Amino acid sequence: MTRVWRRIAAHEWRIMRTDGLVWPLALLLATTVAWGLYSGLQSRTVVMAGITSAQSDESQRYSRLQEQLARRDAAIARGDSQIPADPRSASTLAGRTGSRAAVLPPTPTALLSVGQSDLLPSALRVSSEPREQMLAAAEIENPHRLLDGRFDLSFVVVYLLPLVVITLAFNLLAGEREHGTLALLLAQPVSLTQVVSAKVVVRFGFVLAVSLAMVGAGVLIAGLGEGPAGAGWRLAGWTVTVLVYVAFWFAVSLLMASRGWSSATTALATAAVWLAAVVVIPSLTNLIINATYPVPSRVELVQATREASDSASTRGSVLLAQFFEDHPEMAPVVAPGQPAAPNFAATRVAVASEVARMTEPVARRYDEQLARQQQAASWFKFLSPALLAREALDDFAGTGPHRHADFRAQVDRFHATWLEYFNPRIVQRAALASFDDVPAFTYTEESAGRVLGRAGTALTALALLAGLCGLVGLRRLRTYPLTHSI
Amino acid sequence: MLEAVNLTKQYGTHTALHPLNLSIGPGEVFCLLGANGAGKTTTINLFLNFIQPSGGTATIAGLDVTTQPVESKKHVAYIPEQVMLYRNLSGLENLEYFSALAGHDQYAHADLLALLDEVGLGREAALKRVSTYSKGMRQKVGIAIALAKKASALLLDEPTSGLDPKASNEFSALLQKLRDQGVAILMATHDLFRAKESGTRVGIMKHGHLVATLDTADLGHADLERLYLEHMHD
Ligand SMILES: Nc1ncnc2c1ncn2[C@@H]1O[C@H](COP(=O)(O)OP(=O)(O)OP(=O)(O)O)[C@@H](O)[C@H]1O
Ligand SMILES: [Mg+2]
Repeated sequence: MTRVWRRIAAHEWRIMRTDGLVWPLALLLATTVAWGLYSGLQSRTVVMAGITSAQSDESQRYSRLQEQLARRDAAIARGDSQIPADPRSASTLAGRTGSRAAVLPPTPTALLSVGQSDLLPSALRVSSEPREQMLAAAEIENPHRLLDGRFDLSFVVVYLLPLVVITLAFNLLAGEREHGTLALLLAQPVSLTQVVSAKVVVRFGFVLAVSLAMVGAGVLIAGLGEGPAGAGWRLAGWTVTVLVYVAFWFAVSLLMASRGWSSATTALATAAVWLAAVVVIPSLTNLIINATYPVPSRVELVQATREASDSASTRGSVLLAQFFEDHPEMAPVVAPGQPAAPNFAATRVAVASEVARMTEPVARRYDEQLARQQQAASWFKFLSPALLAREALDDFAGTGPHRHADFRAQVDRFHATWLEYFNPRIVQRAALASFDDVPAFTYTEESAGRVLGRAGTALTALALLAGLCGLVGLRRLRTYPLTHSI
Repeated sequence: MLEAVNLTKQYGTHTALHPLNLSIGPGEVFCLLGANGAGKTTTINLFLNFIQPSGGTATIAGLDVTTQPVESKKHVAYIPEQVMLYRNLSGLENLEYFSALAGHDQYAHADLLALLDEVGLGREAALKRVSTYSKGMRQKVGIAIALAKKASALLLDEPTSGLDPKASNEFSALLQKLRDQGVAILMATHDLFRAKESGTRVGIMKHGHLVATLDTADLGHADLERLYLEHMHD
């Protein structure tokens, strides 16, 4: 930074201030950022409330079970003739009564983006119930879906920041050329590149200073919550994403300014780029993906589960016999010639296994289609800087689809473990030694490396795009028409 | 100091400036005359590297303006026909900024105010916002900016347009002073009288051609007008 460059930058800042545009703009920016943060905070509160409710529901159920056990122990001690049933029985605990809450804790940076946390449940109740029923229940219960409008900080960054940038930069050069000061300026020993870079850097600094100061203040006031660790790198990644995204819009403004159009034409052209990148391409992408890989509705899935369940229930005894054939190790040992005592719990297990087997293809089709959609989305995002930014912002905030998919996969594995643990015990009518033996879910946070790898790809693409626009813009400046507009 | 060698400019098929050869040495004032659209501004803009030449070279203090655009501008000051300034700053602040860019950070406010006073802009006006200025007042600030630069060459595109007769007269005196200091001056003008008064040489331009070059010392005022009008006949 030479002395002359600093002088131009200082002058530019002075002109911007006296212009009277920056303060209303700063106010607008600060207000929308604050609003975005507020809605993020609200979302985090709702998510936390859902999690707390699932957890307290679990602990209440277990304390009731403890009371039942105490009553039963007392009855045994008194030598009562009527001994209550053992609440530790596998068939009791495997069902709703013993269900465990599987919880995806919000990250410390969750308030920076609502992301998908209002669409995807963060608390599930895992029991022997079919997986589909568990997901459907959670989705219906998820209260956040009722909150309308997703005016979160990601929205402010992705949609509104570019408009602020465009407002500040559309007459980067055309303004001074049209007014006539550019001629006197360039009669001095300064290059157009120096002038333009100083102008861009001052505006860039202004936008970043206002927005990051607001975000910093918001984070200090709202706190980062008591989520899992990683506040540092998540916050850093998020900030870098904002920086690169804002840089991209300045690069686009520079590219447009370097064409030598009038300020009106430049403003219009830049706004058209905004419309395409931020509105049109993302909506078209959505449209194309949904048309190419339509996802069957979850209602259909639940319906299929119900039908399978009805059909399986009527074949209970047949299924049980089949089940024992498949799992001879669980078969009851009966004295030859004696009829086996009816085992209703075992029948339920056999029926549930059959339901799972019957719905598996439908569920798999559903999951595969979702996976295909996400695959397509992961390619389509390279078409729009807004999609790239959104992906990286949500991923760093920990509210994107990837972290949630990872959570769901962990829940699925836990569900499988649950069935594996309980089914033999139910069939054998066993009771657990202690409530503590009921498997519990612990969420394993994704590693920083994985998130960085994912968001880093989007971020790199965005940076390359910004660099390309900036370089082409700077090159074009060499032939910038100083004396007339095109 | 200011030199054009086969300098040409074409806009598509239209030639705004035919190969121009011109050399203006220290202490010379070359006045460029010619009808509207003759190519005077084009010539000056080529020296400022505001437009790219279609052929030939323009040099200032021996520096090719297209290959050393920044360096060459250290040696030249410019007053356009319409001096446009930053509206929200005062004349003084404008002068201060442009001088700093020209490499003169050393001026104190008193120096700059004295300079503005010298070109006929009083202290009171100098501290007012430029948005309140008349065209002539802006022109005076433009002249002060050019003087403050202390360049060895001066490009003037109808610099006195909008100046009142007194200010115009004072400007001629300033030119005289700069000439004595050894500044090389190229001035486009429509004012035959001033050209004769201030110029050491006059050039008559027509349809992009420099059709005649004369020493003012050899001419009476009436001669110049007669010659000029003769050339304007097709
Ligand atoms: N950007 C441009 N595109 C096409 N033609 C141009 C352009 N700029 C100037 N010209 C043409 O070049 C010629 C010379 O114009 P120039 O401005 O040099 O005239 P001038 O001598 O300064 O006239 P005036 O006395 O009116 O200031 C004119 O014919 C003009 O139409
Ligand atoms: Mg002209």
